[in-house]
Amino acid sequence: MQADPATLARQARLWGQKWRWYERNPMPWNRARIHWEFLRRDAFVRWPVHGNVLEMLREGRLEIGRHVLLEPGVWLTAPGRARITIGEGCVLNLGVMVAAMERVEIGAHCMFANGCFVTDADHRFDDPSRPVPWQGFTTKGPTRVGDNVWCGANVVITSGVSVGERCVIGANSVVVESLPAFSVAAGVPARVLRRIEYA
Amino acid sequence: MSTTPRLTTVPTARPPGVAHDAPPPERLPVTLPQLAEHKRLGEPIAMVTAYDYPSAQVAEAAGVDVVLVGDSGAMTVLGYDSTVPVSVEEMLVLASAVRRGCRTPLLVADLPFGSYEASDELAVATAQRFIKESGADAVKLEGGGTMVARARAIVGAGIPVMGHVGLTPQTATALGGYRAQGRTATRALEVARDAIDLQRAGCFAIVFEAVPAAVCDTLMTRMEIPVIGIGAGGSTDGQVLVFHDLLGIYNGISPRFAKRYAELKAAMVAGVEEYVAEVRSRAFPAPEHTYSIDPGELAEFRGLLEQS
Repeated sequence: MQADPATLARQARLWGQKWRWYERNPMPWNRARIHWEFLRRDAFVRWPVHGNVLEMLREGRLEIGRHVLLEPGVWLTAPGRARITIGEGCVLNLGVMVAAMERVEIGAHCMFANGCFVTDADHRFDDPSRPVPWQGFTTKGPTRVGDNVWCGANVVITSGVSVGERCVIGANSVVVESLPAFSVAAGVPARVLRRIEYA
Repeated sequence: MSTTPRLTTVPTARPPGVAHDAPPPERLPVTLPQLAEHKRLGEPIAMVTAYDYPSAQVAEAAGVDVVLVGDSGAMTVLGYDSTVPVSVEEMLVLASAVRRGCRTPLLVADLPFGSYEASDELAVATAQRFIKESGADAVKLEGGGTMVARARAIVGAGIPVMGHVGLTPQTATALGGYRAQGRTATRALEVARDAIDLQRAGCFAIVFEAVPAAVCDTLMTRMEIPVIGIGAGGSTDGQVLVFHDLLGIYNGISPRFAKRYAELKAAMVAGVEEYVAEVRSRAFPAPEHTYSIDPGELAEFRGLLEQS
């Protein structure tokens, strides 16, 4: 059955709204602006990049250090007043997501393998009268990753966690508690397996 | 449970129906990393002094990056002959008022003469008072040499420090008056050493005051922290001017670098003169400036007054 014109117009308007919002990064002008912002920071982003990258850069809420490389499919998101810092020389590999509600700091020269997820936010689910997606977010505090941290593929670092410098985190680990510097950690939840000793 | 289709109510400039996307923020508070980023991206930093609630609100509304509660307030608002006599308590009053007037700009408070030079302990204690009692974000102190150690001590205590070299008004007498500094090779080298030492001590930014533009230009290649110039040419990472100088409120000796963007003192005098004239000619107050009373109440009041 064909929907009446009024309904169809409403649906089309809504679809247009969504398209303009969700597909804004690939618009040629926005794509050029994003590359320009990375260029002037001596950094590089491989396409596509997702999230409100341009807004954050322009509002001074996303700090990208020199020689940062974002591989395709990286998703950086920080609504409102939230801030993300990515230190110099970091490499975010395919499909890494960084989501900040207040503050996510990544130190210098970190490596994130494919599919990592770093966030300071949790979904709320404490209101039984409302759908969970409508309940918004909560946080246990800023998430910090020190310098020279290497995260294997699909590592998840959750809210309020500090990872010390030069930690190595095994693939598919979920870090829910802070890790002291120079730790090798892995598992769900991630446990410190050993300490890195330098000769 | 609400069944309202939330997506339809969202304006186009915002993400449709994305619950976690808060309304667009007013300007974010300026942070130290942001100032460093401004330097890196070659975006000039605008800094201005402020000494009270209204001037702070003006700075906020004008989109200033850094507000300095300068000890220049000793002269411009407290009427001293120099910046030397002003006390910590007086500066705290000014800094607290400024803090109440602005949230967005980074707020830097000047440590007044005699409040930090004697020892590291004194410097840290005074800096802590400004952070705790006035809500300033950072402090500024003048000079190099032994002051580098003071700066390092305050930074070590977790308080961001802004350095200040070249013409340092607190010690102007020792420098031979309010005059440009670093105009000979050896004096320029002293300025350079002080600046680099302060940078090594961990200052987050530094003010170059009344230094020849060419000297400043040469020094810029060595400076990794943002350099804010006042009478130091156009190669610095930012500029600072005294509020009362740039608006033409202060009538003292105006240095060469103080460009006037307005003549507020003339406007203020004209305003008060007109008021005085209107009072004397009874043109003020007019009916719209007065309160009325119901005629019945007035008659009753007059009656009551007669009886009493």
